[in-house]
Amino acid sequence: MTLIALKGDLMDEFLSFGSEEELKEEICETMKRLFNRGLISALGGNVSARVPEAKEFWITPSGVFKGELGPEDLLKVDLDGKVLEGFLRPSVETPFHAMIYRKRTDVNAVVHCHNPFATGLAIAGIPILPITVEAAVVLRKVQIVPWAFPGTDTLANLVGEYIEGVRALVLMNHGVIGVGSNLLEAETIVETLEEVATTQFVASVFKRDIPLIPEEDIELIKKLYKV
Amino acid sequence: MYGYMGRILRVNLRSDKIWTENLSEESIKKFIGGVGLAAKIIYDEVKPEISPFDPENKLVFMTGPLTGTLVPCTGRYVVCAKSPSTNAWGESHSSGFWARDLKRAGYDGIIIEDKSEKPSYIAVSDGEVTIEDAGDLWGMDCLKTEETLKKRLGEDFKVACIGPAGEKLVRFASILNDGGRVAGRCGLGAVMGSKLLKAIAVRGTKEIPVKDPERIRNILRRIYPQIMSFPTTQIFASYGTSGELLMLHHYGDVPIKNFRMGKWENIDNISGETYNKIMVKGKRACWNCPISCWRYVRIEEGQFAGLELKRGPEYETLASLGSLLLNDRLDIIVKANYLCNCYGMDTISTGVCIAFAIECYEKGIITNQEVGSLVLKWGDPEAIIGLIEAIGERKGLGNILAEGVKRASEIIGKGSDRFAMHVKGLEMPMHDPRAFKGMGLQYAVSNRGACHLQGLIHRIEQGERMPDLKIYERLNRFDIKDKGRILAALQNWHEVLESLIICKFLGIAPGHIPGLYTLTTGIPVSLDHLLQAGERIYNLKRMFNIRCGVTREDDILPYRIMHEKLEEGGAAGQIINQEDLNIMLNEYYAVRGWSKEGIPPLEKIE
Repeated sequence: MTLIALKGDLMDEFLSFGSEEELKEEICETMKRLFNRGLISALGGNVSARVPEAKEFWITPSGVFKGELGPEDLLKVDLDGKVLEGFLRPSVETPFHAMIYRKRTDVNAVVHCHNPFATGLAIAGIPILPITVEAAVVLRKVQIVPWAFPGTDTLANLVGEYIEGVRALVLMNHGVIGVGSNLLEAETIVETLEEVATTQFVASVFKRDIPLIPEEDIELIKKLYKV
Repeated sequence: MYGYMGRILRVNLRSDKIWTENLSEESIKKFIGGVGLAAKIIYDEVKPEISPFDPENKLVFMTGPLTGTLVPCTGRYVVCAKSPSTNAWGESHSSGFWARDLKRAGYDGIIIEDKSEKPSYIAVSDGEVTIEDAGDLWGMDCLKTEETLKKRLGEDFKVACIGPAGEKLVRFASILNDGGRVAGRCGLGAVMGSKLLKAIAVRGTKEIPVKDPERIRNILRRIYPQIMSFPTTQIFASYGTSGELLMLHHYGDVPIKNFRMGKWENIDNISGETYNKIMVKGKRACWNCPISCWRYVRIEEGQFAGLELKRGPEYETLASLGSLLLNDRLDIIVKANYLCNCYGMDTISTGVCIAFAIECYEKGIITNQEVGSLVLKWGDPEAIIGLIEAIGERKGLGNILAEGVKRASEIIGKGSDRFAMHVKGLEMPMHDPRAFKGMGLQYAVSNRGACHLQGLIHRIEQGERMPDLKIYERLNRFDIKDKGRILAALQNWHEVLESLIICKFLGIAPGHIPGLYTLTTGIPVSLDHLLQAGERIYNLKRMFNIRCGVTREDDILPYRIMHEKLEEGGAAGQIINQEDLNIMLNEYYAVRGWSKEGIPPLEKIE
């Protein structure tokens, strides 16, 4: 994934937002890709997106098979989580999606997956470390949100607290959240998170102290990529 | 109009006048259908001061906008009136196919007014309605009445009828349809009997209009796996409601010996597992139901060998005619259930009245002079069957018990009110509130008296969560904190389900319902809108009760629950004393926005 490094006209084109119908198509495509990668399961995981600055967003439904969603399955909800359009039950995690959009005006897409490695490491008390360039550039700081029951306002409030200034969160005993200015960016975050977590897990199986990218190089990378 | 048929039938039994009224958009918006519309009609049209047996009482049968549609578990109707059990709000529900066919005949509901001069029945056939003479049916039992009317009118007619108990104004008489589905609670069969109305037979072939059936099918196909994986749904599909009996016994929830014991060594003899193994011959389902909780039973051996019930005992009956009476013989429970169906009597109330009588006899409060040749002993088959017959025919002690346990204890006196198990006059269902204290609050405040269904808070107290209603907590079943808030949310939601009408056994999350309603009716609604309507309906019933004289003092539990501890079992040592109840009531009233006396402000029903 190289989206983060794109600059200039190409980036503008990439980040341009089409109609709501196109946005809904994109949400479904994102779900399909994440499902095929095993980051979203038959009933677990959800995705939302909004047109920049909009006071409402589109979100995937709850209680239906996640691998074959179509645009007609999505629900439009306001920033209080109230359903404005759609016929299915909105994702039970609508409260934290709404919370993120309220807190982060720069965020237009939220992806929540059940990443096995990233979640597993957090459960084992192991933080995500800067072991690759992607970990340093794309993920930056990954915080672990303490356990709260899924779907609750308590979880939404915790997410609201931890989401300031970050792009990825791990929810203890639950899954991960990636946010971005568009869907591809949010998807990139959760995919990268799983790639880094997997790498870190493999490394830790064979070696106790995993070598990290030196601090000075991280600073250099950050300057290079202007992050 | 979609979902709704758009018309309510009115039948005046004295004048023989039959006419229809159109459903208004305003009433649909505010009261949805089903019990909501029935509550509005009763509130507006029934004077609170009249006797339940006064011809001015009205008997309202209603279906809902989802009734008879392809949404699962929508074969239900509700019947409402001022109740002979409570002298206040009365409602009862039944399932099967009668409700679907009433809609297919072109009506969302039937309002029965006044009283016939002679026994009669109503025949409804695709918009053609007649009042017929029922002289030959009067005195006939429910099952025979249904069979006779089907032979007379045609097998494609569905029949809702009363038996001898309804005719003799037994205060817990039921209305029976489809060979064993029963609107049992609140004595509405007696209201029907007081009007000399024996039955309503319906035949319908019209299509129930649905706005977007293809899309509904598509949604249902996809949410079906989640619905069927709901634990209660799975248990009910496998065993019927009896599947919960052993688990509830573990909690100390199953009433034993008139709520005096918390544990019974013979409980396995009447468990769902035993029952399904030796008595059940098959499963049956109501209209469009994937659960099939209905059990077809046959007694193979003994005195009653060969007796078959299309709908055998379910959990409440296994307990009310079993453990409550220390009766561990399934054949006696089945026979007793059969007799209750024949007479047309609620099995819950019947069991509670029999338990009361046996305890009176045990304590020497009543003697052989009152009970005649019967020997009232716990678990005695002759006592159980003899008392059912005595009640159904209003003979001897049965004539007193037919008044319901509250009035019977007032007649008998001698301190028997301390073990008369009822709230507001409605006999206690088979869940001991000492095992689930939220259920105690639910019984105390429910509009129809002791009601286990309007809230089902014990499910939450067992660990179920309902995030769509913002119920996330793991509640301690013996705590009293937060029970008021959670109960109010559940009751509002249940008013929605009973207005639509969807069976509560369907494990469908509330968040799915607005879409299904919108696609059925073409009327866009949100979950918030439905819940507001649910709250309005609940408050309207409460206001009817207030007008009938119900006060905070009536929001109370039986003496035994408040003062006597169970010695063993999962609820040993527990009571709900007045202080606990007051704390729960105060929280509940505050959450509902009621006064400290339990009176809703008028804006709550607007």
